[in-house]
Amino acid sequence: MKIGIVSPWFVRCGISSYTFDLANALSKQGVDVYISRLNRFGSKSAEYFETLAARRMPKVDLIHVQHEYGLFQGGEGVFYGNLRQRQGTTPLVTTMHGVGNPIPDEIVAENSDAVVVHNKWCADRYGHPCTVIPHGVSVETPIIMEEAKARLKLDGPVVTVFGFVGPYKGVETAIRVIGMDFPGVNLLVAGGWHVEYETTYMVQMKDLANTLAPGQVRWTGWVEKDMLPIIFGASDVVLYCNKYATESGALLTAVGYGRCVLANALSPIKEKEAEGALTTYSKEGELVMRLEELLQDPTLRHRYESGARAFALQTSWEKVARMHLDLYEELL
Amino acid sequence: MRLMLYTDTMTIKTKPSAYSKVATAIAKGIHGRHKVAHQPMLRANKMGLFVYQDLLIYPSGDEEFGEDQIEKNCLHFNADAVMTLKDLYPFTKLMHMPLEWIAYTPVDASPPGISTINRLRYAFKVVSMSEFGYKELKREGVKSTLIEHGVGEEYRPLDREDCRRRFHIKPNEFVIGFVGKNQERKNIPRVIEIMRATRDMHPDVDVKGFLWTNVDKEIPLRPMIIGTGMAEHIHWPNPDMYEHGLPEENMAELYNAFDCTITIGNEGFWLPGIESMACGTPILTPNYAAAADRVKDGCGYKIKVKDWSYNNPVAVKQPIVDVMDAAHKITLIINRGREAYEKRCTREAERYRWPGIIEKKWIPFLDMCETELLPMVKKGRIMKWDQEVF
Repeated sequence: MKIGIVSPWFVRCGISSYTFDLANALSKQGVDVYISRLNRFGSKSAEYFETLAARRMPKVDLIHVQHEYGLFQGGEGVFYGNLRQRQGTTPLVTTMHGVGNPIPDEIVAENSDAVVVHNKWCADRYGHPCTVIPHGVSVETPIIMEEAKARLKLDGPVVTVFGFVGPYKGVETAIRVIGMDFPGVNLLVAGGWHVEYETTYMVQMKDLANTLAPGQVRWTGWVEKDMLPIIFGASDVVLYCNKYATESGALLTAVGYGRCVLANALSPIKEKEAEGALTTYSKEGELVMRLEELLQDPTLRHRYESGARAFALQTSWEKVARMHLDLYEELL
Repeated sequence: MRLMLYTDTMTIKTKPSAYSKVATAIAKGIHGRHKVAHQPMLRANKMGLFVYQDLLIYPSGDEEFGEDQIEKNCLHFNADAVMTLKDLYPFTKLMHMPLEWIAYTPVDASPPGISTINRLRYAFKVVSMSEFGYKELKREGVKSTLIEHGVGEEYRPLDREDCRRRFHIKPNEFVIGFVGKNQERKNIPRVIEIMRATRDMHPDVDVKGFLWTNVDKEIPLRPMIIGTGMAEHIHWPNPDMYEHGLPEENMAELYNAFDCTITIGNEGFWLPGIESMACGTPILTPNYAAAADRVKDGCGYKIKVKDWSYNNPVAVKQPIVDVMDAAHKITLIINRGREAYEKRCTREAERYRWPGIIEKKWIPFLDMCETELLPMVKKGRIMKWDQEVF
């Protein structure tokens, strides 16, 4: 089978990482995957989407679009209209990485032969027919904790926040909690931003860390892939304080490394808690209590680590690719 | 791959530049493997879209550097990437356009300006044109691929007497040549001081200067030439002739007519240095920035930097060379004779012949870009799309 995927590629972007893993897993199951690059950055015009829809592509059996509102900037109408016209009867699948914006959601639903979302909460919120295929997880092994901490020159317990450092990530919550309630615990903020070396938000967070948690917070900046086993190897607990999420590649990376994850109890995250992949908190007070428990009780941590590993194996990219293949075959 | 070359004009003789020459050589070199179009800067093409020697030439736009037009042109051409061959200061909007931007950029100061680094963070790929630039960018955390400029086959040793006759240079004159735009950063007044100091140091030698520049442009040079008493000892072309540009064959004759070629500014590559060496003429550069990369054993000399200046619009560090040190280094060439350097110079310049640069550097680099721009994943391996797609 030959498919074309429209997506950002090889840039600092969650959708790009997702496509990379999916394409890789599909290709191992005999699918030839052609990527049509959707630019991650820049202000996009209607002409841009016309060109993108008309961009040359080999004759493929199916086209799969990775959709996210920020990437399309309201250009769904132009893009899907032109793509439909150009590709004729070639089946069109769209994965919605975010849901809840009525007009784009409707355009995508009308123009796609199938829509994929990552979890039940997204499916309910989307409100159009769709298929739930979970976000894949790479099953990875971190390096030994002592060695990882030594390489990062960290002493004592380490709590890690991983992923892009943006205003909706709740880094301030992590800094506040670690600084005020966990003296002697290190907070490792492992992540950067898409392009800029530093953003206003990052500067604000560094100021906050200097005030509330002096000497406790370590900033790594953008983490290259080869550093991940060290970052997760050194993490006693991975904290996920996002204020909003539909799905999270960063969270699932931590789960894939078999780490004990304590996450804000957002609806899509609670689905993972129900499957034993992680544990959650609802309020800051509860976050403090849960984190204290986890840091003091290695047995409890190991329970969640085992749960994370089991979940990762269940939703490995190999399995997720097979689910995609089943969907593609239904459409062909 | 479909590549838009966005640089100084490659076809319309309005303002020839080193960038124009380099871009032309790259476009010719990769022709057949990649589809290339060109948007000339500086409002060079006001006519609209046309084809010139297999190259699609797009309109330049109304803004000086054509940022108002580049996105439209790239979308029309269906470009996979746009490659700029230019300093970065003209670009204020390009980084925020949905284009895959390959920045082939000079780095001429240490450290490079913060505005340079900030712009490069948006680039799909960065290509540095000198070892100096490569190292400076690396130090700032910017990954780049080093691809130096090349030199054309026209540049080679020729009959010097003939060449000198063509430029009205007498056989007994020792000529210090300068080739470049008359810009503040080139510090040509100091080049004139060096010419004068060398002349004063050698009353027995007929030391002359040859400024291949527009003496009336950014810095008015005529008053200085006259004021320093060098009016009879410095050659320069009619400004119109300089602006129109000489064919490459004649430029090769000019370098052959020189006894040495000098630059004292901060350079991002210094193409005249390679052209001069290819003609067998030794070079002199400040011991700073990319021009110094050109000076290898037996090919010329590096001049001591005496002081620094930041007096330029982007506040980059510019060298102020030691005039007496320069005069002493030129003395070495006077004493040994130009011929003593010819063999080493031409051998060194052979490294920079275009066919080699294209084959060993540009083709592998563009193949790598193509694998990222038009990727296909098959059995866990990433490769580029099948060729039949084109």
